[in-house]
Amino acid sequence: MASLITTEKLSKTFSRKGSQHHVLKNIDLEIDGDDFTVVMGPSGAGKSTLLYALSGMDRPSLGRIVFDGKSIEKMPEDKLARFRLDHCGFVFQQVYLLDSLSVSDNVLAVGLLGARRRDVVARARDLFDRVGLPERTRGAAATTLSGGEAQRAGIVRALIREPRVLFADEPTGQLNSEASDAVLDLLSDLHAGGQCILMVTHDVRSALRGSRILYLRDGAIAGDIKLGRFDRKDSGRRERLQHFLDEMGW
Amino acid sequence: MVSVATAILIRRNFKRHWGRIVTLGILTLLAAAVANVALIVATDYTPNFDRRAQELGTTDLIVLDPLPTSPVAELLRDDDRVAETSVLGLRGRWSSVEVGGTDLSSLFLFTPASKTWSPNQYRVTERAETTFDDGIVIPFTLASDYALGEPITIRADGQDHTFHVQGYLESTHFAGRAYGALLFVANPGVDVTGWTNQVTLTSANVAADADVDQVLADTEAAVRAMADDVQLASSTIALLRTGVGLGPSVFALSLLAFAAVLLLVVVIVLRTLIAEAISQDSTAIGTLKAVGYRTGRIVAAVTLPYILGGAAAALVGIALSYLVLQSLSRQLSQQGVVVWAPGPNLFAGLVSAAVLLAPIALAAGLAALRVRSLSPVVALRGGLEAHDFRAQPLPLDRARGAVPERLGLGHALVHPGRTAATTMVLALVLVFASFAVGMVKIQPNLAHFLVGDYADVNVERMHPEDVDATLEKVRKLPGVEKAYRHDSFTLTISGRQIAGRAVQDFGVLSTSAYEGREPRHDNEIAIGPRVAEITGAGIGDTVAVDYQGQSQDFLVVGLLQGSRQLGTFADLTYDGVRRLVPEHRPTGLWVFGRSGESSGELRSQVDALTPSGAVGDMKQSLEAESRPYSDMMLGLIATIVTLTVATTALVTGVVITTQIRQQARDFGVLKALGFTSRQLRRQILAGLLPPLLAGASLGGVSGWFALAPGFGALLAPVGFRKVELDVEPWMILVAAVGVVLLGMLVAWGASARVKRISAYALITE
Repeated sequence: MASLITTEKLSKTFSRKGSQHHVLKNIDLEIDGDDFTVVMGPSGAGKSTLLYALSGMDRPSLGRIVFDGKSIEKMPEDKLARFRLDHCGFVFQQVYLLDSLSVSDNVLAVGLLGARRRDVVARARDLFDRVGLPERTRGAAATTLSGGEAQRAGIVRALIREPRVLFADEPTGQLNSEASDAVLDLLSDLHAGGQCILMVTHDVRSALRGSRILYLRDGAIAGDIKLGRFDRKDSGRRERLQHFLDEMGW
Repeated sequence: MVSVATAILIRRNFKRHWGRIVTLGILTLLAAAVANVALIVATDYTPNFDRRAQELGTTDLIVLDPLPTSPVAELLRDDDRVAETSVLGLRGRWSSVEVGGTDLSSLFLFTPASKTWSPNQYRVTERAETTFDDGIVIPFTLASDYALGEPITIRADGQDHTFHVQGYLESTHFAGRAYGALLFVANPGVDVTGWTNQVTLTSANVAADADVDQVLADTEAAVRAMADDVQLASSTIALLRTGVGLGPSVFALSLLAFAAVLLLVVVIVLRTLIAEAISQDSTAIGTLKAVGYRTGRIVAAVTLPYILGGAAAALVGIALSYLVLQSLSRQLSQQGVVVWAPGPNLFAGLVSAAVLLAPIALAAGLAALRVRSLSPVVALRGGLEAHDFRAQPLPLDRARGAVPERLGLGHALVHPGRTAATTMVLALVLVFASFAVGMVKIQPNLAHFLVGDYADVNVERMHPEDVDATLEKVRKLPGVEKAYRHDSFTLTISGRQIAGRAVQDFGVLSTSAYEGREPRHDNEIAIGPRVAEITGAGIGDTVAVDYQGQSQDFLVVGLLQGSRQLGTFADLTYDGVRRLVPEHRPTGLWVFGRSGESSGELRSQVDALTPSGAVGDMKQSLEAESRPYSDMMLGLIATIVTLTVATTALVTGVVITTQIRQQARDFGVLKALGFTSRQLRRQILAGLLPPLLAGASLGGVSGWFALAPGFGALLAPVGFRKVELDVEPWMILVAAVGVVLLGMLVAWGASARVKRISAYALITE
C-alpha cells in the first residue's frame, strides 16, 4: 500500500530562555494506511512532538510532511484546522471532553461541522453502540462518566468524521487495567476494520496492539519493527516486542 | 490591619486579575468623575452666587426707570418695609448684540469707569493688556463670543456702534443674558450720550421679614397708577437666585442620575467578575483552605484588589473631574451672572468616594462569600463550576443552524447568571442612552420646549387705537403666516406678581396645559405651576386675581407648565381681563412668519407698519437666551453618548475576555479537533447575542417608557409637570441597534485573542 504519511528530514526545535532544544532531528518516515503504528521511547524522546507534527497540530521547524499526497508543514492555520477536521481523529490521555456539553454534543460538535445532521447523528449512534456506551450516558454531563467511559466517548468523537488516521496520545494513561483493556480492544478492532492508527505509549501492554513499533531516542528513530496484525493467540508477540525493546535499551 | 501573608495574596490576585481590575477601575473612574462634578455643581453653584452677591453688595431689588428722574426711589423710601434705598443715574438704551449667531436684546446700561458704584458693585474679572480709546468692559457672559481686544458691535434703533472689548465684568443684577439689564463700563474716550437715554437706577434693601416680591409689585403698581405707559425693568435677588440656579440644578440632577446608573453597572460587573475569579481560582482557594487559611483572610485577598483598585480609580476620577470642571464652570457661569470657579471640594470628593465605594465593597463582599461555601476538597477538584452541569437547551442532534452559533447560544443559556448580568448592564446603558435620544429631540427647539409657542416678532405697548389697523396691515405682509392680538401684563394672585397673558384666540397656539385647557370664557383662567403651588388651586377651584386695583374670582380650567417666568404665569381671555378692567383694550401683537422667513427681516417690516409701541424680534431673543441651556444640553448629550459607548465597550470587552480565559481549555481542544479561529469567534459572538438583544430590547422598552416620567422629574424645578416628548420609537430603536452593533464589534475585536490559543500548547502543557 502506498504511504499515507511521509516525512523528509522532519525536525522540531524549541527555544527556551535563549537556549535551543532539538526535540526531533531529521526524521525520515513512512506510515502506511493499514498500519497501527506505536511510537515508544524514553521520556523527552519526542514521541508526542512527532505525533502532533504528523497530525498538523504543531508545525515542524524544518523538513517536510506529506499527508495523503498533500504537504502540510506550511499550511496556514485555518487550513490546518480544516485538514485536522477532515483527516485526523484524536484520542488524548486526558480525553478533553468539554464539561459544558453532554457526551453526545461533545461528539456532534465535531461531527456536525459542515456535515449533514441526519447522517452524522446516525453515525454517532452507531459508534456509541460499537464502543458500548449505553443510551443513558449519551445525554449526561461528560464529567459524570468514568475514566473508561469517557475515553470511549473520546474515541467516538475521534471517529465521527471517518478520519484517515486516528492519533492516540497515551490513551490508556489514566485508566485502570480493565478500562485500558476495553479501550485497547476497541483500537484493535478498529485497526482490524482498516483504520490507520498512530499511537504514542510507554505501556508495553498497549504497545502489543500495534502492528509496527517505532522507537524514538533523542529525537531520532532508533528502531523500527513490524509485529503484524494483533492476534491474541500469537504467543511469541510479547517476546518479539520485549526483545526489540531490550535492544533499544528500554 | 492586613497581614504579610494576606498582602502577598492580594498582590498575587492583583497580578492575576489585573485586566478585570482595570476594567472595573475605568467604570469606577467614570462614575466617580460624573458624581463628583454633579455634587460640586449641586452644592457649590448657588452658594457661590450667594457669596458673590454679598461681596458685591447686591441689593434685594433694583428698578430701572428709563427717565432722568423717577418716582420709584420716593415710593420705596416711604415704604416701611424698605430698609435702605439708593439712586444712580446712568445712560441706557434698549439694544442688541450678536451672540451665538442670534441677536440678544436687552436694556444696555453704560457707566464710565471713573464712576463709583455702591451698592450693586460690579467686578472686573479680566482686562485686555492694551487700553483702547473705544474700549468697554462687557459682561463676562458675553465672553464666549467676544474675546479680549476684539471689536463688539451694539445695535440700537437700526444703528451700529462698535467698540473694543477692554475687559469682562461680573455683576449680580447686570450681567445675565436672561435677566434684567446688561452693564457696560466705558473707557474715558467712549461717548454714548448721542444714542442713549438717561436712566434712573433705584436699588433697595428690604427689612428682614418683608416680602421683596410684594414690595416690588406694590411699587410698580403705584408707578403705573401715576402714568400708564411707564416701562420699568426690575429684578429681585430672589428671582435671580432661583433663575440662575435652575439650569445647573437640572444639570447636576441629570449627572447624578447617570452616576447612579454607572454605579449600578459597576456593582453588577463587579459581582460577576469576582464570582468568576473565585471559580477560576478555586484550586488555589482550596489549597489555602486546606492549609488552614480562614475564610475571612481569603475573602480579603479576593476582594481587596477590587476594592483598592476601585478606590484608586475613584480618586483618579475625582481628580480628573476637576479638569472637566474647568471648562464646565465657564459654561455654567455664562448661564448665570457671576463667575463660578470651583476649587477643590473635599465634601463632594468624600461623598462621591463613599457613595461609590460602599456599594462596591458590599457587592464584593457578598460575591466573595461564595468562598465560604467552598469546601477545600471540592475546591481542589476544580470548584463548584466543574460539576454545575445544566442540560443543554439546544442539543446538537435536534437544533438547527451552524455548529459554532449553536454552541455559543447554548453556552449563553447554560450560564444564566452571567447572561442575566450582561443583559441588565446593557439594559441600563440603553435606558441611559434613551435620555440622550430625548434630549436630541428637545435640543434643536429648546426655546419652544421650555417656553411654549412664541411668535417670531412681538409688538408691545401700542396705543390701543393703533392695534386693529396695524394688525390688518401686518396680516397682509407676504412673509406673515398669522398674526394675533397678544398682551402681557402683571397680575397679582395671593399677593404675588404673576405674568399674565391674554391672547385673541388660545386655539392658535399649541397648548402648554398638561391638565385641562386654556381659558375660553371671561371667568376662566389657566395657571402656571408656581401659581398652582402658591394658591394650592387645581382644576375647578377659583382664584382671586387682582389687576390695576380691581379684583375678581376666576375659575381654574387649566394647569399650565413651562419655564416662562419660572412658572409664575397665567392665561386669561381678553374678556377675562375686561372683567377686571372694563376699559382694557389690547396693546400688543404676536406675528408668526412663514417657514423659512427671517425673523429679523420680518421685524423690520412690522416695525415699518407700527406707529406706536416697541417691536421686538422675539424669536432671536428667546433663542439667544436659551442658547446657554441648549449648549449645556449638547454637552450632556455628548457626555451620555460617550459614557454609553465606553460602558458598552468595556463591559462587552470584559465579558468576552473573561469568557475566553475561562474557556481557554475548551477552545484549545476544539482547535485541536479542527475548529478554526474564525469558527470559535463566531461561537463567542453567538454567545453574546442573547444578552445583547435582550438587554437592548429591555433597555429600549424601559427607556421609552421612562422618558416622560424621567424628564418630568428632571424638569420639575423649571416648571414642568408632565412631559410629552413625542420621541418616535424608531429613534430608540436606532440607539438600541447602535448599542448592539457596538457590542458585536467590540466582541469581535476582543475575540481575536482566541487566535493566540494554541491547540498544541494546551495539549502538551
